[in-house]
Amino acid sequence: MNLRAALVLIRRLARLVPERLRANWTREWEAELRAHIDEQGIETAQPFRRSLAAMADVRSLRALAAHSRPLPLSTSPGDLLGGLLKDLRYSVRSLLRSPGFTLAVTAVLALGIAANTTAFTFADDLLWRTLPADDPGRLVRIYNGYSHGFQWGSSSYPAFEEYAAMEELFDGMIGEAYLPLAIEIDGSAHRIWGSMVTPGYFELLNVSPTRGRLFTASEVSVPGQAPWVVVSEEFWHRWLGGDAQALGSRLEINGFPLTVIGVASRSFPGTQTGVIPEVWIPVTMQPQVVPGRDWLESRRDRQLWLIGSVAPGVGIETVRTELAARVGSLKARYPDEYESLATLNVLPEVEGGFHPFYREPFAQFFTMLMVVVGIVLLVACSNAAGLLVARATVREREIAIRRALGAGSWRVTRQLFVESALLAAIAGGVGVLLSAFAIRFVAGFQPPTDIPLTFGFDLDRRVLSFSVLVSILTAILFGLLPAFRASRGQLSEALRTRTGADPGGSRLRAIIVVSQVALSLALLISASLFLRSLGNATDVALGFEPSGIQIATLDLKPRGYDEQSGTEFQRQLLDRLSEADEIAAVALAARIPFSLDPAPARVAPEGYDAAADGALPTVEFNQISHTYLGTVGSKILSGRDFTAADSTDGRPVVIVSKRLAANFWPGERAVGQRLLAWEQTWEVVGVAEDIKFRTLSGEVLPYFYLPLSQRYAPEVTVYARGRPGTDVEALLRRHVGTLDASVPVFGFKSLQEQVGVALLPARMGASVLGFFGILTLALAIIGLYGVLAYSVERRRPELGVRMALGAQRRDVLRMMIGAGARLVAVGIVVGLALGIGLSRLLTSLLHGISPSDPTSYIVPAIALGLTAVAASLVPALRAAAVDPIKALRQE
Amino acid sequence: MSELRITYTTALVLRALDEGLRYGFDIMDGTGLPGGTVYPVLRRLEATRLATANWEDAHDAQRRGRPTRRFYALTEAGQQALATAQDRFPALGGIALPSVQEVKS
Repeated sequence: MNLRAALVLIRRLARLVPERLRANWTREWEAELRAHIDEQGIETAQPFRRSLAAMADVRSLRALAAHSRPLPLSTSPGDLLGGLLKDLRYSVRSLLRSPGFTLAVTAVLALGIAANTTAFTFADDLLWRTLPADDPGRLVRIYNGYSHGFQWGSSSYPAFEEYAAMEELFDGMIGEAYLPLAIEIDGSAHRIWGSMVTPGYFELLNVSPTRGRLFTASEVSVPGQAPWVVVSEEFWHRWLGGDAQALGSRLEINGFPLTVIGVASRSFPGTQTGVIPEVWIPVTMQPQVVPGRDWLESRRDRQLWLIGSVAPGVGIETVRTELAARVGSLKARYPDEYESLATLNVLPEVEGGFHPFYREPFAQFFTMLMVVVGIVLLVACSNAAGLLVARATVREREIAIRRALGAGSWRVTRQLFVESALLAAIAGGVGVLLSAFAIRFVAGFQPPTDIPLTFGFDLDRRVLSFSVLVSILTAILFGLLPAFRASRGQLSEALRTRTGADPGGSRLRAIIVVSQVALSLALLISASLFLRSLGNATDVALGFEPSGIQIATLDLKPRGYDEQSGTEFQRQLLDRLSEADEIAAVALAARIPFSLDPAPARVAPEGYDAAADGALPTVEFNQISHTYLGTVGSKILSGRDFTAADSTDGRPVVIVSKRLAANFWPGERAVGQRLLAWEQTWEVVGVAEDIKFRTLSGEVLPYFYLPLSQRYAPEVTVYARGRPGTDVEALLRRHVGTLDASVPVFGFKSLQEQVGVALLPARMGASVLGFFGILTLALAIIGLYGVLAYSVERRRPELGVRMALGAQRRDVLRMMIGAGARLVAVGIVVGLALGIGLSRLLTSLLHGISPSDPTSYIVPAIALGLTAVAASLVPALRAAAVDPIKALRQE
Repeated sequence: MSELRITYTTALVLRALDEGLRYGFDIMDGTGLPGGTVYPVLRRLEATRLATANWEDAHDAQRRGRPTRRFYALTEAGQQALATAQDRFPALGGIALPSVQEVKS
C-alpha cells in the first residue's frame, strides 16, 4: 500500500464518519499515516495497518455510515430510541439488499405459521369449542347408552322434563331436536333444517337477537300456545331478503303458519358443532309442526339432544351416579319403553358437544393433521434457520468491519436483533394473512350432505401466537448467530478469511438438511400410503353400478302425508317416471349408500333364541321399489327379485344379502326361510349380491331389502338412469310438481358423487399430506441446494488447487454430488424411521393397505433421492467448472 | 545517544508533552504545528531518550475507529531538556495549550 492509495482510502472512509467528527478523524489518520510512512515505512506499522485494512474492506460504505458513530453517544434514553429507529432503517435496507433471502425466510416461516394456525383453528373449533353459557365449564351432555351397543342416543321430552326437575343436580337444562322442514316461499316448496328447542334454550345459551326478539321459557312452556319461529341471519337474508318488514310475517313451515318474531345473532354457533339450524321453533309446537307424532308425551319418541348445566358445587361424578340410579327407576316404571336402556352417559361439554359418534373420526384426522403441520412448522423453522446461518457466515465480515469502525458488541447485537425481529414480524404478518385466507377457503367447503354445515371459524389466537412466537424465536436465535461468533473474539480472523474451513456452520447446516429430508420423506410416505389406499378403494367392487344414475330426495312427511296417501304418491310418481321416454330406468328407495346416518334394524332368523344367542343383531336395510335392484345393477344370486305384486296386500317378503344369508342360515338355502323384524315375519324370496354401503374397506356387512310398499318410508330417494341428454332434475321436478307442488325435492347429485363420500377421508388425507409433503420436499431441496452451493463457493480455492494438482472435472463432480448424497442418505434413513412412526397414526384412516406397505416407503425414498441428486447437480457442475487459475488468484 | 539540538519547535513539543498531550495528532492540535513537523520531532525525542513511547492496544483503536496511536511521555532527561529550553525561549510558558481532556474517543 503506497501513501497515495492510503490517503485516497482515508478520504473515502471519512465519508462514513459522522460529520461533526469527520475533519478531526481525517486529519488524525492522515497525520499518523504520513508519520508512519515517512519515518518507519508502512510495512513496520503493523497495528496501524490492521486497522486500516479492516476499514478498507468495507463493502457497503453508505450503509455503515450511521453505525460508525462511537458508542458512548447513544446511551441516553432519547438516543436509544433514535438508535432503534436507525437500527430499523438499517435493517430494512439490509433485508432489501438480499431480497431472495428475505423472501425465502418470510415465505417459509409464513407457510409454517399459516399451516399451524389453520389446522389448530379447525381442530379447536370442531373438537374443543365452548358454548356461550354463563359458565361453559358446567355444561354436560346426556346421552342414552343402550345394551345393544350404541352409547350416544337422544332422549324423549318426558325424560328431559324428568332430568330438568332434578334441581339438586342441575340449575338448567335444555334439549334440541334437529329436523328437516318444508317451507313454502313464493309458492314453491323448499327443504330446510330447523331445530325444535325446549323452553329456556336461548336463556341458557345467552343468545341475543340481532332483530326482533327470542322466545322465553315462560312464553313457550304450554303446548300449542306459541306459533313462533326465530330465524338465523343466514335464513333471514336468503329467504326473507334481509327485510325488517319480515318480522311479524307468517312463514308456512310444514304447512303450518308460524310468526317470525326475531333473528338470532350470527355469533351463536348452535349447539351441534358445524350445524347451524336455519330456524328455531319451540318444541311445544311439535303437535302442529310435526303432526302425527307425540314427542311431548311419548318416551319412545326420542328426539332431543340434552345439555344440562350442572349446579355450582356439584361434581360430574355425582351427576353420573345420580343419573345412573335414575336408569333403574326408569326401567322399573316403564319396562317396555326402556327395555334396552343400559345407562345415561354424561360427558362434559368439551368432550360431548361434538356428537361422539362423529367426533371420533374427526379427532383421528386432526391428530394426524396436527402432527403433520407440526412437522411443517419444524421444517419451516429449520429451513429459516438454515438460511439465517448461511447469511450469518457471510455477515461475519460485515460485522467485524462494523466493530472495527467502532460499533460496540452491544450495538451490533442490537442491530441484528432488530433485523431478526423485523424478519419474523413480516413472516408473522404474512402468516396471519395466509391463515385467514386458508380458513375462509376451507370453511367454504361443503361436505356432501344437505344438512347446512356452517363453520364460523375464527382465527385461533392462542395457536397463532404460539406459531408466531416459535418463528420469532427461530429468527432471532439464528439471526443473532453472527453476533455470538463475533463476540468470541475472532474479529480479525473473520476479517481476513473470505474462504476456507467453516466447520461449525457447515455442521449445523448439514443437520438442518438431514432433518428436512427426513421430515419431508416421512410426510411423503404417509401421502403415498393414502394415495395407495385411495387407489385400492376405487377398485373395490361395490355390488352396484353407480355410473349414469342421478339421485334426488323428496320428503312427504312435512306435508302431512300419512302412510296410505304417501304410498299412493310414491306409486304414482314411479309410474309416471317409468313411462317417461327420457328415462331408461327408475326406482325409489328409502336410503342412499354411504349416507352419514346409519339406521340399522334388529332382525333375527325365525326361531332365534335371545336367551341362548344373545341380543338380536342389528342389520342395515333399505326399503325399495321393485325396480331398484335392476336400476342400480345389483344381481340376484338366487330366488327372485321383488315384483309390483309384492305390495301392501301381499305377504311380507325380503331379499337378503349373501352375507346375511350366510350369517343366519349357514350351509342352508336362504330362499324360503323366515326373518323376524319389527315384530313381524318376513319371507326370504331372494338372495342379492353383497354391497358396500358404509365404508369401502373392512369386512362385508350384512344387508337386506324390503318392498317400499310393505314398509313405508316418508322420505325416499329417486334413482333415475336418464337417456343421454336428458335433464333428469327438470324432469323430476316437473313430475313431482304435477302430483303435489308443495313437496320439496332436494339433494340432486349423481350416485357416483355420492359414492365419492366414502372416499372422502382417503382423499382428504392424500391431498393434505401430499400438499404438505411436497411443500416440505421443496423446502428440503432448497435447503440442500443452498448448502451445496455455499460449500462450492467456500471451497472454490481448494477445488482450484485440486484441479491444478491434476483432479479431473469428473472427480470434482463426483465429490460434490457425493457430499450431497451423503446428507440425503442419512436423511432418508431417519425419514424411513419417522415414516414408520407416523404411519401408525394413520392405520384407521387407511383402506385395504398395511401401514407398513413397502411400496409406499420405497417409491418416495427413491423419488426423494433422485430429486436430491438432481438438486446437487447444479452446484456440482459449477464446482467442476471452476477455473483453477482464477481460483488460485483469488487466494 | 546523539545530542539533540533544542529548536523552538522541539521546545514546543516538549512543553506539550509536559502539559499532558500524549500523541502526535493531539500535539498537532494543541501546538498548531503541522504533522510533518511534530512526528519527526517526537521520533527524535524518542531516539534521544527524552521521551518514551509505546503503541496503544490495536483492538482499542479498532473499536474506536481511529488509527493506532503512539503515546509519548517525557523522561527525566526530557524534563531537564524542557527546563533548559524554557530558559532559552521564555515565551514558551505563555502559550496556551488546550486543557488535556480526551474529547475524541
